[in-house]
Amino acid sequence: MKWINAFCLICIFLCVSFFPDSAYAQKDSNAFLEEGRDLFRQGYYFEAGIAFERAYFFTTDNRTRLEANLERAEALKQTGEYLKARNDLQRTLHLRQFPELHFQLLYELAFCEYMLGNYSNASGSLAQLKHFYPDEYFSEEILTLHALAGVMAEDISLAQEKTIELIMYRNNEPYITDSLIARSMVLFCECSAPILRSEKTASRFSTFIPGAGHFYAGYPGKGLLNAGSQLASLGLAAFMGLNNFYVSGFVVGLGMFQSFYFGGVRQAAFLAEQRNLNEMAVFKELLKEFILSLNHD
Amino acid sequence: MSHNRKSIFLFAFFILSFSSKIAAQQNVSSELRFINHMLGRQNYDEALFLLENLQTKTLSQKDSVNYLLGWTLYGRKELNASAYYLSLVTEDSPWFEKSRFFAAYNQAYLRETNYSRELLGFFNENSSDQVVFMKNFQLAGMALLEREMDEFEHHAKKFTGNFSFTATEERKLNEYYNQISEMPYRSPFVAGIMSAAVPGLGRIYAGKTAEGISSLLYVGALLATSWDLYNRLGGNNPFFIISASLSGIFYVGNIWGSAVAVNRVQREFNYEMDQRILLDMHIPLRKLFP
Repeated sequence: MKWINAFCLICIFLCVSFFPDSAYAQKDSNAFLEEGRDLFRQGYYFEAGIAFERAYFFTTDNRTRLEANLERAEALKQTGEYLKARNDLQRTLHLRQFPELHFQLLYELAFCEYMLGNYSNASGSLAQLKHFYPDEYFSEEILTLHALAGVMAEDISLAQEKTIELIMYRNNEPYITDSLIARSMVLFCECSAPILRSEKTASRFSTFIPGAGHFYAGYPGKGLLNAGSQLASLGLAAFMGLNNFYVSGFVVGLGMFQSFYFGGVRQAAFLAEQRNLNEMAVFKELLKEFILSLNHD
Repeated sequence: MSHNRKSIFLFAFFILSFSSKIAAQQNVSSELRFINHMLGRQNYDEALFLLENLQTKTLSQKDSVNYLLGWTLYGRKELNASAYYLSLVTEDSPWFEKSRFFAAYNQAYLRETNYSRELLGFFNENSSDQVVFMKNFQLAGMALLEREMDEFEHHAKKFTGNFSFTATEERKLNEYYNQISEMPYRSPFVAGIMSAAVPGLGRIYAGKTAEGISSLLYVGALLATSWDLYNRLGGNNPFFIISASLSGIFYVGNIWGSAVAVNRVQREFNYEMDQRILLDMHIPLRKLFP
């Protein structure tokens, strides 16, 4: 009996001494997960993110790891740390044995990419999602995000395709669906897209005809002003030259002319670029409004 | 029998209390492992938060916390605070040498080289060959940063090229030493005088040829205009007065600019050299202490 007692005590000693690290892992990862959820509910997103990461780090179970990672991403999103959330999500991308979590992971990844402005990557993640989970893909949330990613990536045909899928998915009355599709056909039509001006063409125009590049870029007022300035400076140079002020005419008149001339060439290209950006931004905003309005109907 | 039971009870009590202590220590070590993981993922804010809230009891735990705090702050580019925590790591810690060298490097980066030397002073002949050699290399780098050429020569004599972690950087430090030594001294005063004689010449002397030619063209054009207006309209004409005033402003400004250009060129050169030296002081440290 004495030896049995001693044996038991030694076993306890060994277990307590050498087990705690793994116990910390096994037993507490769920507790960490719960702690994180509590903190998240209370609005302590930073602390919740740490608790979820702790659960991720100490668990040996892949499912818990994936769950913890997803919930950490949610906490990070709340603090606006999309880059960190994206990077963290990517580390569990290979865990495909839990389809419902993997599906959510791909969606969150796409969302973070979208928020980071990596619209092509967002679109890529959603394409993967469609590939792995073709049935679950068709949801309002995902189709909306995919359409928006298409718009922002300036892939208008993709955006149109996803918008039409979204309209069809909503399964409205046939006349509403038809009307929405007709509207989308008009909005996404090439004729609705802004005509983009080439910066090179604008600068070439201004190289040969002063102010013409500005006209081409859609700023006729600035074009006239630039052409007028060049003309006036040339006139001044000629006037001074005719009055025998050769040196002054050369320096003042031609000096001003070369400034207006080369400045005009550069400005024409800049204005064309600005015009493109502004018009594209307005067009994208219009398409985004339409896509988002589909969810409000 | 009663005596036996009592001894077993005492034994059990001792073992359980001892075990709980070990368990607490294990929890701290697990937490430290977790913080290390956070650092590895460059989650510096979170690592800092965890370290600030970690209760430590043993010296070794305190060392680990100071080491991790130092690394966290290093990651956040808070070099002064990083050096402070790294310098707190005691000799008993396995991270001691690494902490000391990085604390010294941080101080060198902040140009607190006296403090760096003090930190490295701990290492002596009793330290391992690698450490002694690294100390010499770092001291050479610091001497070069401070442009103490004699001191650099003294340390450079001990460069052997035998250690793979410094072989390339030793050669580079010697190259920088040559470049710094060969950099000619240029006087701002001389540059000013040269630009007064010929606009833009001072800038060319400073090493900014394109700027010099440009200055020559615009100041020359303005002066020529003034001369033309003076010849045609006379000295009292307002056009001449405006032109001459402008020319004077640009002429004087160019003289001043030439003098400043000399200092600017010197500053740019020094900055570039310092960045290279610091990089080449850093690389061997990362090789020796990965």
